[in-house]
Amino acid sequence: MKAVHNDKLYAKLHKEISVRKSAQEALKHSTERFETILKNVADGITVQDRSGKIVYVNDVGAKMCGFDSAVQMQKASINAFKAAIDKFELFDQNENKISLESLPGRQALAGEYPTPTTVLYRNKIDGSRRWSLIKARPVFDKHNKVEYAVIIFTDITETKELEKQKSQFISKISHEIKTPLTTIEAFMQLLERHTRASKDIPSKKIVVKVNLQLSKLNQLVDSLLDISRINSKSFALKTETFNIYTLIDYCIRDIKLLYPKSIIKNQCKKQLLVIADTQSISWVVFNLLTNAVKFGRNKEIVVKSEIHNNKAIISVKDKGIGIPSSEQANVFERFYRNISDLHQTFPGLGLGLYIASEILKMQGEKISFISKENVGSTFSFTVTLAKNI
Amino acid sequence: MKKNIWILDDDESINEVIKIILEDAGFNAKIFSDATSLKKQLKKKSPDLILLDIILSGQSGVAVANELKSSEQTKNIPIILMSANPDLKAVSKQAKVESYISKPFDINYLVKQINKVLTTH
Repeated sequence: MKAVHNDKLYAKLHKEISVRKSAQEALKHSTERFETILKNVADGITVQDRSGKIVYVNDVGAKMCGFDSAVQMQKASINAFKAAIDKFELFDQNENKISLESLPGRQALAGEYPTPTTVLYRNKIDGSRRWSLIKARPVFDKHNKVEYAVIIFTDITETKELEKQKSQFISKISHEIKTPLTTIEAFMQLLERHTRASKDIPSKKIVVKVNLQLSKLNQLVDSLLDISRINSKSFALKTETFNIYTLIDYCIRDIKLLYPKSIIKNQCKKQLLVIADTQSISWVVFNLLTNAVKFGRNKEIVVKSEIHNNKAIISVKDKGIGIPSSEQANVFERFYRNISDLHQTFPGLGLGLYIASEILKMQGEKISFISKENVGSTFSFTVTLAKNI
Repeated sequence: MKKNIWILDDDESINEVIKIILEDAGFNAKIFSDATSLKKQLKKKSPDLILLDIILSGQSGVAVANELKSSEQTKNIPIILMSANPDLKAVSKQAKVESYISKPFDINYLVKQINKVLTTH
């Protein structure tokens, strides 16, 4: 009886052991597989525990921290670790010095979900520079306390370098185009002056047409220059108080010179004092109106104002072709162009809304839109109200 | 008496067009395509005003302006800087010149600006 019992017990135990063993093997296999994946991703990955100690790092991550390998980094003493980190100076996007504490990893350890941050690492010893995009996420335990922070470093040095080169190229090309353009414009103005008194009507018409195209060409070059200045953060803003109603009126008048058939109504509050950079706001309004005219199917366009807290919300509404929902996410991207109406092609580089959103962003303002294909679009932006209204 | 305006720009065609505009407006206009020849001429004569482009192939327009403004002999000649550079206003202020004109310019504005500087200096 006893022997039978022992046999049963043994069989049960054996079964349990083999189940546990295969579970352990599966776990080991899965861990190995996971580590192989982490080892081979192009991004640097580190995992820190709540005290800030590094509990996992892959080779790429270790190299970014100045070590030869993950093994060497994990074995390193606190002092060796500090020395490796101290080799680097850290800077933000605009190349202002930042501290280690302001990196996303620290925020994730505090239980926050930080936004991805671009950081420049400058090696103090050899002066080399690397750009990194750092993302961090907290991992919580069952008591909802932060257990780990997972930090991912993506090397974006090449992208940054290309962006810089592209910006410089655009700026150089634009200046090169501007020089002959200046001469052509001046000569055309002289020609206009000389034909003014003449009775040669066809020549006069040609002069007017050439001038119109020249001003369009100039606008294009200016947009390209603006882009490179936005990218290099050298866009100078001058904040002042002005009545945005009047500014909108001026823009409408300019648009009507270019597009005489357009119907635009200014229904904004007549005395609406705001504080912003006049020139760039006028640029934004002019561009929103140009788009409304271009895509508005010659229907009425209405500019309205609303007041919300300390902001004026200016909206430009058209009843045109609208933007298909599949394209809406890209509207503020560089070189985005509305191609929903395939029967028509619209002139432009697709820079207007990108520049508008960038220059508004620089002033702490926002731009947004609602749009429905074949119904129309409404673009709205905020601008800060002057205090004494 | 016609006023003498000297123009320094390394772009030949812009020099040519400015010369026509200024002569149309009743000025004597003389063009230079490099700073050295302008400075050489300054030793012999003195114009009523100099129109100076910022980007020159040799010495920069700002450097030329600084040099002229720091010399006893030339410091009283009014200078107008010209450029397509968006920061022209700030550059002109720094260079302590009398005025500036952004390129591309309106020809009437150019003449107006020259007359304004000539009457105030």
